[in-house]
Amino acid sequence: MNIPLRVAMASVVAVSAGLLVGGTSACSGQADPSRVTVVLAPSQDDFIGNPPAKGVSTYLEARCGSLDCHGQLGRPLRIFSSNGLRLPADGGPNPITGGSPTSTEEKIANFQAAVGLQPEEITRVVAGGGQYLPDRLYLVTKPRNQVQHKGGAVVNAQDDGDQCMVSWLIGATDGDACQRAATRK
Amino acid sequence: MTPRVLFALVVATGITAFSCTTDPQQEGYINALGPEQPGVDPGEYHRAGQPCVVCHQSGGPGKGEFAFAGTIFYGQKKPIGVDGAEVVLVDSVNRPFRARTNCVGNFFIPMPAEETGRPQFPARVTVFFADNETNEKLEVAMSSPIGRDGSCASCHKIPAGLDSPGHVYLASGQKETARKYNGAPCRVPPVPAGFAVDGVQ
Repeated sequence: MNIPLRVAMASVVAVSAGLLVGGTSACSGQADPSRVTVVLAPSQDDFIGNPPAKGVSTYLEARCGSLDCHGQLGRPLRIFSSNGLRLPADGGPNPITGGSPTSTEEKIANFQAAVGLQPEEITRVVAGGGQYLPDRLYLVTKPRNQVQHKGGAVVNAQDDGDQCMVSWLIGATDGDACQRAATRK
Repeated sequence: MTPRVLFALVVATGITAFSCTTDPQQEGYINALGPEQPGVDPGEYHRAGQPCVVCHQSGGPGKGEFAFAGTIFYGQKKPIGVDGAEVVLVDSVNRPFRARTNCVGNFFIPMPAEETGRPQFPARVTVFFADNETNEKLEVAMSSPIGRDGSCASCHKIPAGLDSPGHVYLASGQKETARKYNGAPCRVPPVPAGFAVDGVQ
Protein backbone atom coordinates (compact mmCIF):
# COMPACT_ATOMS: atom_id res chain seq x y z
CA MET A 1 0.00 0.00 0.00
CA ASN A 2 1.42 3.37 -0.92
CA ILE A 3 0.78 6.26 1.41
CA PRO A 4 0.46 9.64 -0.33
CA LEU A 5 3.52 11.86 0.20
CA ARG A 6 1.39 14.63 1.70
CA VAL A 7 0.08 12.27 4.39
CA ALA A 8 3.57 10.91 5.03
CA MET A 9 5.08 14.38 5.57
CA ALA A 10 2.20 15.38 7.84
CA SER A 11 2.87 12.26 9.94
CA VAL A 12 6.55 13.12 10.31
CA VAL A 13 5.72 16.69 11.34
CA ALA A 14 3.12 15.47 13.84
CA VAL A 15 5.52 12.99 15.45
CA SER A 16 8.27 15.60 15.70
CA ALA A 17 5.92 18.12 17.27
CA GLY A 18 4.70 15.52 19.72
CA LEU A 19 8.25 14.68 20.77
CA LEU A 20 9.07 18.37 21.24
CA VAL A 21 5.97 19.24 23.27
CA GLY A 22 6.06 16.06 25.32
CA GLY A 23 9.75 16.51 26.13
CA THR A 24 9.28 20.15 27.12
CA SER A 25 6.25 19.59 29.34
CA ALA A 26 7.94 16.67 31.11
CA CYS A 27 10.66 19.04 32.35
CA SER A 28 8.44 21.85 33.58
CA GLY A 29 7.41 22.23 37.20
CA GLN A 30 6.86 24.85 39.79
CA ALA A 31 9.04 25.35 42.86
CA ASP A 32 7.28 25.27 46.22
CA PRO A 33 8.76 28.12 48.24
CA SER A 34 7.27 26.76 51.47
CA ARG A 35 9.40 23.61 51.35
CA VAL A 36 12.67 23.83 53.23
CA THR A 37 15.40 21.33 53.95
CA VAL A 38 16.69 21.34 57.52
CA VAL A 39 20.39 20.62 57.47
CA LEU A 40 22.58 19.62 60.38
CA ALA A 41 26.16 20.53 59.62
CA PRO A 42 29.53 19.98 61.25
CA SER A 43 31.22 22.96 62.89
CA GLN A 44 31.59 26.03 60.69
CA ASP A 45 34.22 27.39 63.08
CA ASP A 46 36.34 24.26 62.65
CA PHE A 47 35.84 24.47 58.92
CA ILE A 48 37.15 28.04 58.83
CA GLY A 49 39.80 27.15 61.40
CA ASN A 50 41.29 28.99 64.37
CA PRO A 51 43.91 29.69 63.25
CA PRO A 52 42.82 29.40 59.60
CA ALA A 53 45.90 27.32 58.78
CA LYS A 54 44.32 24.50 60.77
CA GLY A 55 40.95 24.78 59.08
CA VAL A 56 39.33 22.31 56.71
CA SER A 57 38.83 25.14 54.22
CA THR A 58 42.58 25.73 53.97
CA TYR A 59 43.10 22.08 53.11
CA LEU A 60 40.36 22.16 50.46
CA GLU A 61 41.70 25.42 49.03
CA ALA A 62 45.21 24.02 48.69
CA ARG A 63 44.42 20.55 47.43
CA CYS A 64 41.14 20.97 45.58
CA GLY A 65 40.61 24.64 44.79
CA SER A 66 42.82 25.15 41.74
CA LEU A 67 41.18 26.96 38.83
CA ASP A 68 41.22 23.81 36.71
CA CYS A 69 39.54 21.72 39.40
CA HIS A 70 37.07 22.92 42.00
CA GLY A 71 37.93 26.57 41.54
CA GLN A 72 35.20 26.87 38.94
CA LEU A 73 31.72 28.28 39.30
CA GLY A 74 30.03 25.30 37.68
CA ARG A 75 31.35 22.69 40.11
CA PRO A 76 28.93 21.12 42.61
CA LEU A 77 31.71 21.54 45.18
CA ARG A 78 32.91 25.03 44.32
CA ILE A 79 35.91 26.27 46.27
CA PHE A 80 37.02 29.89 46.59
CA SER A 81 40.66 30.53 47.46
CA SER A 82 43.49 33.00 47.29
CA ASN A 83 45.18 31.20 44.38
CA GLY A 84 41.96 30.12 42.70
CA LEU A 85 38.46 31.38 42.20
CA ARG A 86 37.59 34.56 44.06
CA LEU A 87 34.29 35.67 45.54
CA PRO A 88 33.14 39.06 44.27
CA ALA A 89 33.54 41.65 47.01
CA ASP A 90 30.42 43.22 48.45
CA GLY A 91 30.76 46.94 47.80
CA GLY A 92 34.53 47.00 47.29
CA PRO A 93 37.12 46.24 44.62
CA ASN A 94 37.01 42.60 43.55
CA PRO A 95 39.92 40.40 44.58
CA ILE A 96 42.17 38.90 41.93
CA THR A 97 43.45 35.34 41.77
CA GLY A 98 46.83 35.27 43.45
CA GLY A 99 46.22 38.56 45.22
CA SER A 100 44.86 38.84 48.72
CA PRO A 101 44.52 35.89 51.15
CA THR A 102 41.30 33.91 51.24
CA SER A 103 38.70 35.99 53.00
CA THR A 104 36.40 34.82 55.79
CA GLU A 105 33.45 35.33 53.44
CA GLU A 106 35.11 32.99 50.94
CA LYS A 107 35.69 30.37 53.63
CA ILE A 108 32.04 30.61 54.68
CA ALA A 109 31.03 30.14 51.04
CA ASN A 110 33.27 27.06 50.93
CA PHE A 111 31.53 25.74 54.06
CA GLN A 112 28.16 26.22 52.41
CA ALA A 113 29.37 24.42 49.29
CA ALA A 114 30.71 21.48 51.32
CA VAL A 115 27.54 21.12 53.36
CA GLY A 116 25.32 21.74 50.37
CA LEU A 117 26.90 18.96 48.33
CA GLN A 118 24.80 16.28 50.00
CA PRO A 119 22.70 18.14 52.58
CA GLU A 120 20.44 15.22 53.52
CA GLU A 121 23.32 12.77 53.79
CA ILE A 122 25.49 15.07 55.86
CA THR A 123 22.51 15.63 58.18
CA ARG A 124 22.25 11.87 58.71
CA VAL A 125 25.95 11.67 59.51
CA VAL A 126 25.86 14.58 61.97
CA ALA A 127 22.58 13.49 63.60
CA GLY A 128 23.38 9.81 63.53
CA GLY A 129 25.86 9.85 66.38
CA GLY A 130 28.08 7.26 64.77
CA GLN A 131 25.31 5.20 63.21
CA TYR A 132 25.93 6.73 59.80
CA LEU A 133 29.57 6.75 58.87
CA PRO A 134 31.05 9.72 57.00
CA ASP A 135 32.53 7.27 54.50
CA ARG A 136 29.25 7.40 52.60
CA LEU A 137 29.69 11.10 51.72
CA TYR A 138 31.17 12.35 48.46
CA LEU A 139 33.39 14.65 50.51
CA VAL A 140 35.20 11.45 51.53
CA THR A 141 34.64 9.00 48.69
CA LYS A 142 35.40 11.31 45.78
CA PRO A 143 38.93 12.35 46.80
CA ARG A 144 39.61 8.70 47.65
CA ASN A 145 38.43 7.88 44.12
CA GLN A 146 36.09 5.27 45.57
CA VAL A 147 33.45 7.01 43.47
CA GLN A 148 34.18 8.24 39.95
CA HIS A 149 36.22 11.42 40.38
CA LYS A 150 37.64 13.38 37.49
CA GLY A 151 40.63 14.35 39.60
CA GLY A 152 41.37 10.75 40.47
CA ALA A 153 42.66 9.78 43.91
CA VAL A 154 43.67 12.94 45.73
CA VAL A 155 44.01 11.28 49.14
CA ASN A 156 44.56 7.83 50.51
CA ALA A 157 42.26 6.61 53.25
CA GLN A 158 43.54 7.82 56.63
CA ASP A 159 46.24 10.10 55.27
CA ASP A 160 46.31 13.69 56.49
CA GLY A 161 43.83 15.05 53.95
CA ASP A 162 41.40 12.19 54.48
CA GLN A 163 41.80 12.46 58.25
CA CYS A 164 41.17 16.21 58.09
CA MET A 165 37.85 15.74 56.33
CA VAL A 166 36.64 12.68 58.25
CA SER A 167 37.54 14.14 61.64
CA TRP A 168 35.58 17.31 60.82
CA LEU A 169 32.55 15.34 59.74
CA ILE A 170 32.44 13.34 62.98
CA GLY A 171 32.87 16.45 65.11
CA ALA A 172 36.46 15.93 66.25
CA THR A 173 38.43 18.06 63.79
CA ASP A 174 42.13 17.26 63.56
CA GLY A 175 43.51 20.71 62.74
CA ASP A 176 47.08 19.48 62.62
CA ALA A 177 46.18 16.96 59.93
CA CYS A 178 44.44 19.72 57.97
CA GLN A 179 47.51 21.93 58.21
CA ARG A 180 49.87 19.16 57.14
CA ALA A 181 47.59 18.21 54.26
CA ALA A 182 47.38 21.80 53.05
CA THR A 183 51.13 22.35 53.05
CA ARG A 184 52.12 18.98 51.60
CA LYS A 185 54.18 19.39 48.42
CA MET B 1 5.76 6.27 -0.07
CA THR B 2 5.50 2.83 1.50
CA PRO B 3 4.75 2.33 5.23
CA ARG B 4 8.24 0.87 5.68
CA VAL B 5 9.87 4.00 4.28
CA LEU B 6 7.63 6.21 6.36
CA PHE B 7 8.51 4.27 9.51
CA ALA B 8 12.21 4.59 8.78
CA LEU B 9 11.82 8.33 8.22
CA VAL B 10 9.96 8.80 11.51
CA VAL B 11 12.56 6.79 13.46
CA ALA B 12 15.39 8.72 11.86
CA THR B 13 13.73 12.01 12.78
CA GLY B 14 13.40 10.90 16.39
CA ILE B 15 16.98 9.72 16.64
CA THR B 16 18.29 12.93 15.12
CA ALA B 17 16.21 15.01 17.53
CA PHE B 18 17.75 13.38 20.58
CA SER B 19 21.22 12.41 19.50
CA CYS B 20 24.48 14.31 19.81
CA THR B 21 27.20 13.71 17.26
CA THR B 22 29.61 16.39 18.61
CA ASP B 23 30.76 17.64 21.97
CA PRO B 24 29.14 21.06 22.02
CA GLN B 25 31.05 22.17 25.10
CA GLN B 26 34.42 21.34 23.58
CA GLU B 27 33.35 22.87 20.31
CA GLY B 28 32.43 26.02 22.19
CA TYR B 29 35.87 26.21 23.79
CA ILE B 30 37.56 25.83 20.40
CA ASN B 31 35.32 28.39 18.68
CA ALA B 32 35.94 30.87 21.50
CA LEU B 33 39.63 30.92 20.58
CA GLY B 34 38.77 32.73 17.37
CA PRO B 35 40.63 32.62 14.07
CA GLU B 36 44.39 32.50 13.56
CA GLN B 37 46.29 35.77 13.91
CA PRO B 38 46.83 37.22 10.39
CA GLY B 39 50.28 36.46 9.12
CA VAL B 40 50.92 33.67 11.63
CA ASP B 41 50.49 30.20 10.18
CA PRO B 42 49.50 27.25 12.38
CA GLY B 43 52.67 25.93 13.97
CA GLU B 44 54.86 26.41 16.99
CA TYR B 45 54.59 30.22 16.85
CA HIS B 46 50.84 30.47 16.62
CA ARG B 47 48.18 31.40 19.19
CA ALA B 48 50.58 32.60 21.87
CA GLY B 49 48.75 33.05 25.14
CA GLN B 50 45.92 30.69 24.26
CA PRO B 51 45.13 27.34 25.91
CA CYS B 52 46.99 24.91 23.66
CA VAL B 53 45.59 21.61 24.88
CA VAL B 54 42.05 22.65 23.96
CA CYS B 55 42.98 21.65 20.40
CA HIS B 56 46.10 19.59 20.99
CA GLN B 57 44.45 16.73 22.83
CA SER B 58 43.37 13.26 21.87
CA GLY B 59 40.70 13.64 19.21
CA GLY B 60 41.20 17.39 18.97
CA PRO B 61 41.77 19.35 15.76
CA GLY B 62 45.36 20.29 16.65
CA LYS B 63 48.32 18.49 15.16
CA GLY B 64 49.89 16.43 17.93
CA GLU B 65 48.76 15.78 21.48
CA PHE B 66 50.38 17.80 24.25
CA ALA B 67 50.80 16.90 27.91
CA PHE B 68 51.63 20.49 28.83
CA ALA B 69 51.87 23.60 26.71
CA GLY B 70 51.67 27.35 27.02
CA THR B 71 53.35 30.71 26.65
CA ILE B 72 55.82 32.41 28.96
CA PHE B 73 55.83 36.21 28.85
CA TYR B 74 58.42 38.51 30.26
CA GLY B 75 56.52 40.99 32.38
CA GLN B 76 53.23 41.59 34.11
CA LYS B 77 52.87 44.87 32.22
CA LYS B 78 55.03 43.83 29.29
CA PRO B 79 53.59 40.59 27.86
CA ILE B 80 56.39 39.92 25.38
CA GLY B 81 57.17 36.28 24.73
CA VAL B 82 60.39 35.11 26.34
CA ASP B 83 62.81 33.20 24.11
CA GLY B 84 64.83 30.36 25.61
CA ALA B 85 63.15 30.06 29.01
CA GLU B 86 63.27 26.57 30.48
CA VAL B 87 59.98 25.23 31.77
CA VAL B 88 60.28 22.35 34.22
CA LEU B 89 57.16 20.49 35.35
CA VAL B 90 57.32 17.83 38.03
CA ASP B 91 54.37 15.49 38.36
CA SER B 92 53.00 13.86 41.50
CA VAL B 93 55.43 10.93 41.26
CA ASN B 94 58.37 13.32 40.93
CA ARG B 95 59.00 12.86 37.24
CA PRO B 96 60.32 15.96 35.47
CA PHE B 97 59.08 17.15 32.09
CA ARG B 98 61.13 19.87 30.42
CA ALA B 99 60.71 22.20 27.48
CA ARG B 100 62.25 25.41 26.19
CA THR B 101 60.31 28.36 24.86
CA ASN B 102 60.69 29.66 21.32
CA CYS B 103 60.99 33.33 20.36
CA VAL B 104 57.27 33.98 20.85
CA GLY B 105 57.34 32.37 24.29
CA ASN B 106 55.55 29.16 23.30
CA PHE B 107 56.55 25.77 24.65
CA PHE B 108 54.99 22.36 24.43
CA ILE B 109 55.64 18.91 25.87
CA PRO B 110 54.30 16.12 23.67
CA MET B 111 52.12 13.55 25.37
CA PRO B 112 54.15 10.36 25.82
CA ALA B 113 52.80 7.50 23.78
CA GLU B 114 53.03 5.01 26.65
CA GLU B 115 50.32 5.35 29.27
CA THR B 116 52.86 4.74 32.03
CA GLY B 117 54.98 7.65 30.81
CA ARG B 118 52.21 10.20 31.00
CA PRO B 119 52.31 12.83 33.73
CA GLN B 120 50.29 12.26 36.87
CA PHE B 121 48.57 15.26 38.35
CA PRO B 122 48.89 17.39 40.38
CA ALA B 123 52.04 18.86 38.92
CA ARG B 124 54.29 21.70 39.97
CA VAL B 125 56.05 24.05 37.56
CA THR B 126 59.10 26.30 37.67
CA VAL B 127 60.38 28.55 34.90
CA PHE B 128 64.07 29.39 34.59
CA PHE B 129 65.42 32.18 32.41
CA ALA B 130 69.07 33.05 32.06
CA ASP B 131 69.44 36.41 30.37
CA ASN B 132 72.68 36.34 28.39
CA GLU B 133 72.70 40.12 28.00
CA THR B 134 72.58 41.03 31.66
CA ASN B 135 73.70 37.68 33.14
CA GLU B 136 70.59 37.85 35.23
CA LYS B 137 68.91 34.63 36.23
CA LEU B 138 65.22 34.52 36.89
CA GLU B 139 63.59 31.56 38.59
CA VAL B 140 59.86 31.62 39.12
CA ALA B 141 57.95 28.78 40.75
CA MET B 142 54.18 28.62 40.48
CA SER B 143 52.74 29.03 43.96
CA SER B 144 49.97 26.48 43.54
CA PRO B 145 49.88 23.07 41.83
CA ILE B 146 48.40 22.34 38.44
CA GLY B 147 45.26 20.32 39.10
CA ARG B 148 44.64 18.46 35.87
CA ASP B 149 44.79 20.81 32.88
CA GLY B 150 47.89 20.84 30.68
CA SER B 151 47.25 24.31 29.22
CA CYS B 152 48.71 27.25 31.10
CA ALA B 153 46.16 29.59 29.61
CA SER B 154 43.17 27.56 30.76
CA CYS B 155 43.71 29.27 34.10
CA HIS B 156 46.06 32.10 33.09
CA LYS B 157 43.49 33.99 31.07
CA ILE B 158 43.64 37.69 30.26
CA PRO B 159 42.78 39.92 31.95
CA ALA B 160 43.48 39.00 35.56
CA GLY B 161 40.33 38.87 37.65
CA LEU B 162 38.08 36.75 39.79
CA ASP B 163 39.08 33.56 38.03
CA SER B 164 42.50 34.29 36.60
CA PRO B 165 45.87 35.55 37.78
CA GLY B 166 46.50 36.90 34.29
CA HIS B 167 49.14 35.77 31.81
CA VAL B 168 52.23 33.83 32.88
CA TYR B 169 55.12 36.23 33.41
CA LEU B 170 58.64 36.15 34.84
CA ALA B 171 59.18 39.66 36.12
CA SER B 172 57.08 42.27 37.80
CA GLY B 173 57.51 45.55 39.60
CA GLN B 174 61.08 46.79 39.92
CA LYS B 175 62.56 43.82 38.09
CA GLU B 176 60.34 44.53 35.13
CA THR B 177 61.02 48.25 34.93
CA ALA B 178 64.75 47.84 35.52
CA ARG B 179 65.18 45.56 32.58
CA LYS B 180 64.15 46.76 29.17
CA TYR B 181 63.37 43.39 27.66
CA ASN B 182 62.32 43.74 24.06
CA GLY B 183 62.08 40.13 23.02
CA ALA B 184 64.24 38.10 20.67
CA PRO B 185 64.22 38.48 16.90
CA CYS B 186 61.26 36.43 15.80
CA ARG B 187 59.46 35.66 12.58
CA VAL B 188 56.18 36.59 14.25
CA PRO B 189 55.39 39.48 16.61
CA PRO B 190 56.36 38.37 20.12
CA VAL B 191 53.38 40.23 21.55
CA PRO B 192 50.21 38.38 20.57
CA ALA B 193 47.12 40.08 19.27
CA GLY B 194 44.88 41.15 22.11
CA PHE B 195 47.72 41.83 24.57
CA ALA B 196 48.17 45.53 25.23
CA VAL B 197 51.67 46.70 26.08
CA ASP B 198 52.80 50.17 27.00
CA GLY B 199 54.94 51.50 24.20
CA VAL B 200 55.09 48.21 22.30
CA GLN B 201 53.00 46.82 19.45
